[in-house]
Amino acid sequence: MSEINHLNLSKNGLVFDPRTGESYQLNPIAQKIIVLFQSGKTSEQAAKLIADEFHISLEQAFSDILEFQVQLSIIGLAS
Amino acid sequence: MTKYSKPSIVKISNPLYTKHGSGAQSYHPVRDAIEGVAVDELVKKYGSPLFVFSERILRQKYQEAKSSIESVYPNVQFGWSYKTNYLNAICQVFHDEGAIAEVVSHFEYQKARALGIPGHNIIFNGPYKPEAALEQAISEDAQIHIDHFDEIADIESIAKRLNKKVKVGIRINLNCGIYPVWSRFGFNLESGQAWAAVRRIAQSKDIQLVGLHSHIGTFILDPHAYGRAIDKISQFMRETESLVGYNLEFLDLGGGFPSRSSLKGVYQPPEVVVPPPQVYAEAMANGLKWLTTRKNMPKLIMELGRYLVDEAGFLITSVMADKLLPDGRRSYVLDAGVNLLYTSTWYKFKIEIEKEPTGISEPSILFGPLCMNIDIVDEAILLPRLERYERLILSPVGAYNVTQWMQFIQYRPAVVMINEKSETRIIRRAETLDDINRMENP
Repeated sequence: MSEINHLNLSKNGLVFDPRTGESYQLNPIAQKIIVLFQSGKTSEQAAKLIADEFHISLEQAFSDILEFQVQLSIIGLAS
Repeated sequence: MTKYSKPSIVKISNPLYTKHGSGAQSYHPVRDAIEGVAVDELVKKYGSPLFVFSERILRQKYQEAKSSIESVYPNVQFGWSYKTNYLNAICQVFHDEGAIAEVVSHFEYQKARALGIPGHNIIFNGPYKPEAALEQAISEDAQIHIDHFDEIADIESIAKRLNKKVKVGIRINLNCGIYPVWSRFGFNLESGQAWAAVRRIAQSKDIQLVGLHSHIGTFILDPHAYGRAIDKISQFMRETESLVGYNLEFLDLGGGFPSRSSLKGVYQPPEVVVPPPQVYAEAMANGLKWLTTRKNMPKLIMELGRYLVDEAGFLITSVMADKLLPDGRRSYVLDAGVNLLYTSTWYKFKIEIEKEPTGISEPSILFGPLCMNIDIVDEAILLPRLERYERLILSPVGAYNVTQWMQFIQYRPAVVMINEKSETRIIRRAETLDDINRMENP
């Protein structure tokens, strides 16, 4: 998801989109996923890392990340 | 270490939000127990969804309302409004407190009788009283409040057949400055219809008018409406007594006191807009004064329903699915919906979560379990991200929901009562397929 590289992410969970001037608040898991995407990880890779770190199933992590990607698209942060 | 929760992102559109994002960390009320019994324990024992009633609140509400009215008028009788919630255990609590039964159908009349309430302790209201119901009520000396002229004729006919003079009240509707005016029940005062009914009954050999009844509406937020109604009825009572030549035995002011529920469209919270019963009593006091000076002080009957039972009822429901809608809103599918919450059309329930919220809140919509687009429990609520099977506790839901719930697609769930010792018992078990099929023939 290289299209989210332009987002500015703060440590307290705020995201600023310089293209639109809009700000968003993220929960800690969403922050981690954005960071993973910005570092070039694919959805599958990000799911594996999240599943390992939080001791949840890979299937759950992958479902949640896929839906999160849909949400990013709906609100215009990713295409 | 951060606990896992599903990823959430919320657009900051409220100017109150700061760079620290504190605005989105919204407070959300938490309830992990009802009357000292853990929600988790209730669900594990009785399932979800689950209606839960507090006996302590039922009794507290009754005593609070009764003592308020008695503080301004000494001769008060409460009639428990069966239609508001006619579960036997609920009715029993109010009968145990001293209420007689107020019913509006033959079914309710029979329910009261099955509970052991004698006919003379049943007020029979309503616009439709079938002949069989009237005959039973007359033969058992129930207190019938007549709704229309056809009913006068029906009662006369039965009275002749039973060779009995029947004591009755008439229901009166009037304009006391509130909207809407409930003009479809009883005889209208301003048009002269009520007076016509009095004259009609006064000439009857089979019926004797002994009381007047008025029920001005529901969820009446203006206590002075009762004062204005009493002023009008009092004048009418004087005129009636002058015509018939004796004092009437009772004045029934019906119900209509609100519970602490949020009526949709009323933007202030119920704690602000809903007056306590003492304020209603004080608004009624002046109008009632003249009755206290009479030799035979008439009985003042109150038929409170919603006020007494609504806040004693809770509905525990569980999150069964978490779905993102195409417009970006978060939605949840609950195991309880409009099938169990008939009053959700008019009231916005208080929704508490079982566990302390973590993370950010987002605009959410709560759907019920029905495969129907209209099944929405709350269309706009800020909620922290909920986990699957997490429970929500909705209140107040004690009034009208367990009488108007639907057996549509789903079974109706169990209803539990918690007594004042925090002991629980099922007062209505969950429905089964056999319950439904028993009434059908293949």
